[in-house]
Parts: sequence; structure tokens; C-alpha cells
Amino acid sequence: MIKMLLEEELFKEVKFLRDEKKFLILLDIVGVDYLTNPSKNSSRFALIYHFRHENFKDTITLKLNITDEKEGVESITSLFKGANWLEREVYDQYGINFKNHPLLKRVLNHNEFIGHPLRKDYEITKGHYCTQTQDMMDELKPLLNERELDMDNLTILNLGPSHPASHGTIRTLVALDGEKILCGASEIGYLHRGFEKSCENHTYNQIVPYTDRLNYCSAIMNNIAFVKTVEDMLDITLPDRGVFIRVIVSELSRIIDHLVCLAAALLDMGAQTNYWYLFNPRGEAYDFLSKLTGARLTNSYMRVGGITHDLYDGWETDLNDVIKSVQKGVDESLLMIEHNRIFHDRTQDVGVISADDALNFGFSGPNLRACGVSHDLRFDTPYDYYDTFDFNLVVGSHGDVYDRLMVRFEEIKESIKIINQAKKSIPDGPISVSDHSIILPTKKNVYSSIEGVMNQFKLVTEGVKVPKGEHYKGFEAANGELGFSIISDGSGTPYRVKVRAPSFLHMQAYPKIIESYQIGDAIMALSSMNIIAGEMDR
Amino acid sequence: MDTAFIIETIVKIVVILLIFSALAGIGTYFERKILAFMQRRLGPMYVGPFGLLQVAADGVKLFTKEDIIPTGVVAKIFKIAPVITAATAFMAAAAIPFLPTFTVFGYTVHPIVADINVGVLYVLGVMAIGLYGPLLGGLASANKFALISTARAASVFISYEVITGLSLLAPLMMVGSFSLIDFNNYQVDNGWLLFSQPLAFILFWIAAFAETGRTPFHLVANDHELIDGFGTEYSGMRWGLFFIGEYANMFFISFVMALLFCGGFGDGSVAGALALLGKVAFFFFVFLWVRAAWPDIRPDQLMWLCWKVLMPLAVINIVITGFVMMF
Amino acid sequence: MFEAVAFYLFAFLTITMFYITVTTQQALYALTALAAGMIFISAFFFILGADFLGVVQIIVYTGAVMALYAFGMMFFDTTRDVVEKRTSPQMIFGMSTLAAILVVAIFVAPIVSDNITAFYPVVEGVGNSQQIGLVLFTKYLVPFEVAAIMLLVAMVAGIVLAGKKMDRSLTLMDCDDAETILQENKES
Repeated sequence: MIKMLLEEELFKEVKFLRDEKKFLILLDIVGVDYLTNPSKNSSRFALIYHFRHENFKDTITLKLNITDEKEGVESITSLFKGANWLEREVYDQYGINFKNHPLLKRVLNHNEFIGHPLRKDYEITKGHYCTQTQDMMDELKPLLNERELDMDNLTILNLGPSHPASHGTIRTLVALDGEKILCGASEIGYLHRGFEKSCENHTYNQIVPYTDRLNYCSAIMNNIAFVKTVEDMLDITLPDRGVFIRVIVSELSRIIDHLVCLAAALLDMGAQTNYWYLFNPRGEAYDFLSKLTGARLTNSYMRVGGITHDLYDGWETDLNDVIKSVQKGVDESLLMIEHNRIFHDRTQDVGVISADDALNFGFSGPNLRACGVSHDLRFDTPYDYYDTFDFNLVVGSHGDVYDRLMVRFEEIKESIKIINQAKKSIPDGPISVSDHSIILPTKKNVYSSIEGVMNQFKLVTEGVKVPKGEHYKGFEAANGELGFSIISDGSGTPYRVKVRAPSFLHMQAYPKIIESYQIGDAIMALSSMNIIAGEMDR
Repeated sequence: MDTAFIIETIVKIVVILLIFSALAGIGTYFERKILAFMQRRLGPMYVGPFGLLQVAADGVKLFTKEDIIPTGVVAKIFKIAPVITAATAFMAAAAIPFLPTFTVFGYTVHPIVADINVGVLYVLGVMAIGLYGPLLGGLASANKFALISTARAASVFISYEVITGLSLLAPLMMVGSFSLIDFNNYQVDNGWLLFSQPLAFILFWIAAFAETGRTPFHLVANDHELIDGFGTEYSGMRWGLFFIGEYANMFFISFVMALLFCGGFGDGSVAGALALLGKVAFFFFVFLWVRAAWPDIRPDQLMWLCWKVLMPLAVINIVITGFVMMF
Repeated sequence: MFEAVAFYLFAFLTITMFYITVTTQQALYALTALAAGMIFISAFFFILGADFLGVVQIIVYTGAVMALYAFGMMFFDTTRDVVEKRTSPQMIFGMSTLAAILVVAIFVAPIVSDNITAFYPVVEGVGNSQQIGLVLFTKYLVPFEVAAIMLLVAMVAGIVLAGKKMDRSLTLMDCDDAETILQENKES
């Protein structure tokens, strides 16, 4: 449901939505530049806001046209803390101003960047070099002043960007009093590769390999999330076998992602053996995936409307072996830490975030469930036959590091249950829709008939033509709600693609989570939140 | 002092230096292999049969690496600090008897460099000086992570010296002498001190983990938080010296524990000597085993453990031992 | 002969170390030299046959006192030079030489004039620690206990002076105020 608004009405409407109508989660803020869109929009720039309701089922979309981007609109950071970096990103990529924003500066591109890259008239061949790191005092000083602290008595330390325990290149500047962190500020964007800009001149199927590189720990889920959005816009559904294959590989990817997060978190605590017990099954899972899809890490297994190829003969036994080894690894790892006093002391009541704060920041996935909020898109808005499988929703209670890690351990077990059930009931049949305008013809047809050649030619050069429209779809990825907002102008290349990356919103809360904890706790908090730089920075 | 004594002492010193430097290197090989087997992988396999030459390869690498002295560090102290760690680790070996007294070709050999009356106290004192390696190394490096590591090192090492001292007071009361050979002889007559002073043994063992900086107390140079702590700015053989000092420390503390609590070399026969070596190997193995099994604790939890749990226990142990000995 | 060699060697090292401590401008050099000097002083104790005192010198001075200095050094930048104000070097040099001569005279005079005797002759057959123990627990028992109490008082005073929130006394407040503070402490 899209509601058009005027710029002045935004703040009031958002406040009304949050307080009266209980739309408590800000999903995403999408900026659009309609400069080269064939169907003319009344103004060049537009902003689209997505919200999710307290019952987690309903969503609402607000859209406003920006008359003057230098003046912009009112910032909603005071209502939703998660809007801080989302608005900074829109400013960074489009140059739209947000009034009364606490600190409006770039977040993904570096501080010496000139211009706004996602604008349609930006010269994409221009490079901008960064010669000096920003000292981030503009973020840290207000925090210090708020707490009436004197910088001379404190140690200012950079945790990252090149630090053995900051997963990916993430920089956090902290002010330390001895070992205790008093306040901090994060800087991201070290892995920003311009995914969204690349989407604008690639066809939908050409974008699929790029989505692999978003959350590279569970690549297939990104593929699935993207192609499902496009399939929604095309209004097609896969045949059942295709759906079941998607369920199986996406649950396998969820297992792999959780294994990586847990192994790295335990390694950051010094428990080296758990790392190996959890990574050995991951290696076997990658062997299975490489046999299935042709690649270990960045699979690109999905296409719009279907899957590249069917499961191979003997996949069941291989998958059984993988599942057994995952089960064994998880059991042994849990045996070592479950009743270990040292583990409890390091993780319980450390890095706590309350459920209200988490919702306000826009958390989702295991990090939100660890706070006690039972929100899982597979249960709230079931898709892909998830409501026919018998599995549990895993919820924590305290929102500390312990809960985040334990929720992930349990989710691995639940995913194993789903895979076992899906394996038993997977039907035979086609794996893709049988629509020639969407799916590539078989190679036999391509090499033997004219229609096949022409079909292949049109689909490869022009891409799958998606009807005009704007659509957002959320998908329960390993890290949380991975959403894609796609705006199509009717051609085979999307007009605008925006990724709603869960890690981006989780990272925003990180400086707040580590306040008044120690350095060791800060490292544990970072690794328990599973920040994947690929999807955070895009 | 006759020249034979001087020459004998020098020979003993050289032998100890050579053997224990090599053992420190081989200790790293055992650590990698044992940890690997516990983690279901193989460890070094390619360099030499079963990866045995890996130690030599690592040694060659460390010697030939470029020696980087960053600008902004205090150069002289920066260079001395690793030497202090390695030197104090070996200085402690002066009062430890490695084998029972034996005769070869009619010549009596005492495998202890200096059997001074205050053996145990000397060993503890010299290990206390070992604090200065990380301390000066971290202070001299112009690096905030090294500074945090130095602060942690100073607080941890000093606190756990108190525990080593207090936990040793009770066995000392029973033995009545500081010399390690006297400890050994007392245990030959009266049974292992492990059984008559179990609490002191456990306290000393826990303190040994903290003094050598091994998991679960590996937080001075914890690479998940502090990169390499005081060793961050060090490269090549300077860092290698820190490393040798750490492993030599582990070996010497294992010797001390075996001699003080577990009967040492017993009555001095060949079986006793082999038993001593076996006990040392067991303690070293436990250091490695614990590293494979447990995570690390935080610095404030470590200090809590020392001052609120271990120290009262040590004092209670001394009081109880005193009462028992009086009546 | 070896004693003489050892004595002169360690004397030279000690004097060098303390000279560095006094004259250098780098705070870290001064700290290291002082610690090294303390260790070399313990060598004199070993030469004289007082092993226990030698080891105690190492443990107490190098292990504890110097570590305290090092802790203090962490609070300022050790890589910068310290510039001292020297108003008149001749006065300092003159006074210190005079003080040194006086100290030497005070200590050497009784030895040269052969006027000192040992009250407690060395007991044969027991080790160094036992001898100290015998004297300490018989003749010097009261000063020993008083010194121990003094150390305890110093420890407590140190904690009270330096600890955070030590100026609040829970026992001198009202019952309710103390309750709220205890509750806050439990939650944080």
C-alpha cells in the first residue's frame, strides 16, 4: 500500500504511524532520481519510506516528491533511531538534505568524495581519491560533551579498520577510561563497491552474481531474495519442485552463515577448537554446493523465474552426510561451551540491547529474536510453503551476546529439521516457470532452431522485461530481513534497486551497545551481531 | 673457588641455554601438533617428515626477517625489552635441578647451576623480573594497543606473584627450607606434597597459568582484542625472543611444579629422572590441552579471581597448615 | 680473587646505572636504569653471603617498587623527553658531593676505628633464612609486628585515597540512602 504525501506532512505522518497505528519498525528509506525515467514524475527526486507494523505482517509505504533537494525534508531520526544512517545514505548518494539531522555527512562513500553517485547525471567513469582518514571527532565530541567528559583524561583508540577481530573492515573510534569504553562512533564504507549503481545498467539476471557478493557467507539467500522480488513484480510463482529446492538450499545457506558467525565469535573469545569443529562441516557443505551449483562461495544458483539446473543424482546421500556432520559439529561445540563458566562469564549480560531499542533501530533476524521479540518472516508472512513445515521459532530473552549466539545454535538445528522434511516431500517436476519471455530456452533448442536462437538472443541482450512499477519485498535471510526495493521502467534493466541490508541497521546500534562495557566485551558484541561488510557497505 | 668449578658452571650454563632454546622451539611444534589433533586437523605436515622441520623453517624465517624499528619508539628500551623476557626466563633456571645427581666416569655431576639456600625464592623473584619485558616493550612502543597490553600485564603479573608467594608458604612451612633439592628430599621421606597440600598445588597451578600468560588467562597479548599487545611493533627475531621467553617460562614452571609438589626426581635413580621428565611433559601437555579446550576470560574477571577468590584461599591454607603443624 | 672481580664489576655497573638514572632526560631510560641498578645491588648481597636479603632485594625493589613506578609512568607519554629546570648546576653538584662525603665518613668511621662488635654471633649450621627468622622473631619481634601493621594501614589508606567513590561512607548515611545506592550497584 503506497501513500503519497507532501513534504511538510512527513514528520507528522510518521509520528502518527509510529504512535497511533503502531508501525514500529522502519524498514528502509529509498531515494529515487527520476531524471531519465520514461514515465515522467512530477519532481526529479522522490523518497520512499517503508514501515512494518507491530504485528509484523502489515507494511505501509509512504512516498513523497522532493521539490527542492537542497532544502529537503524533516529528518525522522528523533522518531526512529535507525533512520540516522539511512538518511545519511540518501544524502550521500543523492544529495537530498534532511533538516534537523544530528550529523548529516557521508556514510558509504569516503569523506573526500565529490558529487552524489546515484544521481542519473553522475559521471560513472570519474574516480575520487581519498588522501586523509576522517578523524571522526565531529561524531565523538558531541557524545563526550553530553557525558561531560574531558578528552585529555581518556584514551582515544581505533578498533579497526584493520584489526584481527573486526569482521571485515569496520572502524570504531572509542574513548576509553582504562579498559572501559565510554562512548564510540563507527565508520563504515570500506567495502562499498557501488552495487546499486551497477544494477542500473545490468539486466536482472546479470545482477544475480552481484547479489552473491552482498552477504557472501550465505550467497544463495541473496539470490533468492532478489529474484523473488522480481518474480513478484512479474506475478509468477515457481513450480513446486523449484520452491522446495529453494527452501533446501536457502536453509543450508542459513546453516553455513550461522556456522561462520558462531565460529568467529568463539574464536574471538579464544576458544580455538570450537572454530574448527564448526568450520569442518562448513567445508563439507561447500563441497556439496560446489557439486550442485558449480561454485563454492558465490553460487549464482537462481535466475528470475527459476533455477539454473536441477539437483544432481545422488544429492540426497551427499546432503545427508553434510547434515550429519553439521549436527555432529554443533553438538560437540555446544558440549564444550554450554556449561562452561568462562563462556557464561564472557557472554552473559554483555552487549545488551533492549527489545524497544532493537525495534527502534530496525533490527531483525536472530539479533532481534535474541531480545525476546518473536519476529520471523517465515512465520509472520509465510512464503515458499514454510507454513507446512514443522519447526520452531527460536527466541531469546536478554538480548545479550549469549542469547545471540545461542539463538543461532538453535536455528541451525531448526534449519536441519526443515531440510529433512523438505527432502522427504520434494515433488518431481519442472524447476522453472515455462514462460519463454522469462526463462532461457534449452541449449538443444538454441542450437537447432531459429526460434530458440532468437529467444536466447533477446533474453540475453535485453533481459527479462519487468512491467512498470515499484515493489519492495522482504525475505528472512540468515542475518535478518533482507529486502530489495526495485523500481522498474518496463525494460530489461531495473531503474533503481535498493538493498535493505540487515547488517547496515545492526551496525548503527553498535556504538550504543558497547557503551560502558570493556574492550573484550566490545569485540564479543561485534562478532555476535554477525556484521557482514559485504551487505552493510554494498 | 677452583677453576674446575668455574668451568663446570659455564658448561652447565651453556648446556641449559642450548637445550632450552631448542626445547622452546620444539615446544611450539608440539603445541601446533597437539592442538591440531584435538581440533581434528593435522598441523604442520609438509616441512620434513611429519612437519618436524617446521621449527627450523620458522627459526630461519625469524632470523632473516627485516628488523623494523618504527620511528617514534624509544629505541634503546625497545631493543632491550625482548632480551629481558628471554634472559629472565633462563636466569630462573639457575636454581632448578633438572636431573638427580649422577656420576659419570667417576665424576659427580650436580645438574643444577647454583644450589643456593633460597632456591624457590630466587626462582620466583627472577620470574617476577620477567614482568619488565612486556612492561618496557609496551611502554617503549608508540602504540596505544601496546600501552593497554602493558597496563594489563603489570596488573596481572604483580597480582599473581602474590598468589604464587602465598600458595608456596604452606609447603615451605612443612619442608622448612627454600632449596629445591630439599623439597625433593622431603617428598621422598614424607610422600608427595600434592597429597598433603592439594589446595596449595591448585593455587600455584592457576597462578602458573596466569604468570605464563596461557589460556584461559591469555589476555596480555590477546590478538582478538589487542592485536599482539606489547609485541605489536616487534618483528623478526626480537619478537622471536618474546616467544622463546614465553615457552621457556612454561617449561621452567612445569619443572618447578613437578619438583615442588609432585615428588621431583624421587630417590635419584634413573627411573626417578625419567619420572621427573615425564611429569614435566605432563604439565606442559596440560598447558596445551587447556588452550585447546577453554576460552579466555576478561581482565577484570581475572583480577576478581585473584583478589577475591585465590588470595583468601591461600591465606586460609596457610592458617590451617600453621595450626596443624603446631598441634 | 673472584670475589674482587665480581665486586668491581657489579660496582661499576651499579654506578653506571644510577648515573644514567640521575642524568638522563628520557623518563623511560631512567626507569629502566633504576630497575637494573636495583638488581645489581642484590649482587652485592649475594657476594656477602646474604642470599636471602639478595633475593628479597630483587623481589621487593625490582618486582614491586619499580613496577609501581612503571604504573605511574603509564599516565604520561613516555616517548617524549623530560626537560628539567636547572637553575644553578654548581650548587647541586657541590651539595651532592658534600652529602656523599658525609655519608661515607659516617659509615666508614666505625669500621676504620674498629669500634663495632656483633651482638648476635652467627649461628653455625643453619641457613640464612633461619638466622634471620631467629633474630626477627626473638629480639626484633615488636618492630616486626609494628612494621606489618604500618604496611596494613598504608594499604588501606591507599585504597581509600585512590578508589573511586570512596568518599561516600555507606555506614554513616541514612538507611534508605544506603539501600538505594546498594540497589544501583547491584543493577549496574
